[in-house]
Amino acid sequence: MALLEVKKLKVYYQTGRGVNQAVDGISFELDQGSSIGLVGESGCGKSTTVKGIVRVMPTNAFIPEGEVYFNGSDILKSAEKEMRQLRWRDISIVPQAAMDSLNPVYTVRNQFLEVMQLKGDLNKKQALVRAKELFALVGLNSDLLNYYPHQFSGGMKQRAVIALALALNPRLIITDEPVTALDVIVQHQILNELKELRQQLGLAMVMITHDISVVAQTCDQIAVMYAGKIVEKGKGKQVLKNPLHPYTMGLKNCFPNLNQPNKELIAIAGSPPDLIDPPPGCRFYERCPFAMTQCQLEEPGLEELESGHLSACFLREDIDQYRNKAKEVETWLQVII
Amino acid sequence: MILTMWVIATILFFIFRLMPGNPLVAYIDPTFTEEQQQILLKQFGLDQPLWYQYFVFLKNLGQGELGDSFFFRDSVVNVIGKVLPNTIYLMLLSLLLAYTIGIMSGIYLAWKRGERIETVGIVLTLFTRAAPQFWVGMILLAVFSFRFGLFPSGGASAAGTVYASEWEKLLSPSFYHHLFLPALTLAIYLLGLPLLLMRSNMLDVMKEAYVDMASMRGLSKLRVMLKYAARNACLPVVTAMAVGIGYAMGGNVVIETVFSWPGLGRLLVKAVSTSDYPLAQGAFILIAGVMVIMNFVADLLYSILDPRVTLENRR
Repeated sequence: MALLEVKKLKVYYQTGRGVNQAVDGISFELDQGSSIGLVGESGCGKSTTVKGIVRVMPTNAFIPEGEVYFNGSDILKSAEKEMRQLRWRDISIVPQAAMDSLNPVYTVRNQFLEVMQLKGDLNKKQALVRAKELFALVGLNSDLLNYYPHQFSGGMKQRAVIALALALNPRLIITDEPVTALDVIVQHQILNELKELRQQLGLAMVMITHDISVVAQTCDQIAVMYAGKIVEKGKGKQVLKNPLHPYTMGLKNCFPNLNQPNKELIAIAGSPPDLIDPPPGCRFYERCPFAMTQCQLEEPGLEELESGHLSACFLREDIDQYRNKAKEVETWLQVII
Repeated sequence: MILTMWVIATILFFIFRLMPGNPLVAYIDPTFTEEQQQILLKQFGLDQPLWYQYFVFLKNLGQGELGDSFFFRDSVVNVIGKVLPNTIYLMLLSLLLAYTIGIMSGIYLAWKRGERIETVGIVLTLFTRAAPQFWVGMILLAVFSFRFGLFPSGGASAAGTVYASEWEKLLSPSFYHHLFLPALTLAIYLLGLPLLLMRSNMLDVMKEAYVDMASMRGLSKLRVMLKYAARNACLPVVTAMAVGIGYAMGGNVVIETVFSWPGLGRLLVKAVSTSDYPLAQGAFILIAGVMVIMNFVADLLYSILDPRVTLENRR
């Protein structure tokens, strides 16, 4: 049985102009101890997915449909009180803005002890011992516990926030852009630490990022999201080496590749569609260099093209040919927005 | 701070002397002869040139000596000392009421963002903020005092009562009975600022990542609201309160008049209208001093409440 199973989850926002279909029917599974990376550009619904799973959402957000099974039970149906029990004990989060995710007027220690005493049923002494243990685990000096968040550097804060996420030995940790705000060297250190910690503690992880190279380093599975939908899903290496969806191919071009250092970076022209009134066909239609008439009319479903490798695109044969074309700048210049 | 006080004292000194009106009018019987008037002027030191008066004034001020009131024929310190406690009690009680209720309601309204109670609350608050103080005071008097006779209509004590000491006054129920209506009126007026400030700060702070994260940590809604949102949102409100004490000191003229409350505001009006230079100067200097000190206190409070603000020199 999968630890986390998200089935056709939809998270919409009620806005002044209408309903924004930010997350529109996404599904994925995650086994105990494994990891999945949700990749996509800003505004594709990655963070909203997380908010939907733990149900800490802005007041104008709602979930019209979907199921989220955690450890076998549908947590979308559980009451707020049970949900609160689950949060941090079973599912913890390393947030997007680790910089601002600690209360600035309390010491880091105060916030560690708070969560452990209230949620972990530890007494103050035990909690303090555990806090020091956690700090050591992420490579921070335990004296730093007495400091205020603003006295930490970006990397230190990120480590502290990871330590806090591990405080109650959760089974699932969701990291939302865990290293985006950090420089490349610290990024690398922290990603490696995360990977080690995860293996050491047997944690399952959902990692959300816009940086495809980050998931390459850390995740077993990759799900590529575009405009609220998963467009490609598969094992990490499959997706990165042999992308099936044109969007994934384009996304790969946007990040530097170590093996081809002189390769020019290619941007995908245009921007994602308005999700208040999304187009009827494929949501990537307007920006896709290989778009066909069918794509505008009909929405392609996720289909398994290779074993365990799914793509939501009508291009189902001769994908190698498109993959090669997608490596050229000219291909992407053809797209007229 | 000392520089600020000096500037204020100087401006006050000249403003009163440049105002039209002769202090002797209020003090001297018109039947006094010219000679007697000159003797009195001499006693007050008003026959000296202005610059000389100014330096005497500064010298005395430096020694905490504010001179004698022309009108009350008593030292300014004594005259002010008699009414100052009344103003302080009125001010403290109403500030306490206003800020306690204001902060709590501000939190509540922010919490209930988008619900009908929020709209009603804001309209009510704007109403209390916009209503003239004398009008609110008169309504309260009309209802509670004249219609139902629940509270006395004016003064700080029942007629003929003499308190042996401030302590006795503070311990007497009758004093609070008298204090209640004016304090309520002032509180209704003061309420709007902390309430609206708290609410809008809360709404800002509630967008911060750490508030969301606190929810994601599975902490209770109440805890998230108070320890994470309100604790951070209250910082500017606390500062506003410290500064508000300064304003409330001198700004109670209307309420003190409506309720015949023997306080600083009324004294001030009398002092100005009778060209009682020393008294008016003294009262204004006191008010200015409280303002300056309260601004300083606000800075101190901020550094205590917000660890990010330090008083040490920054590099």
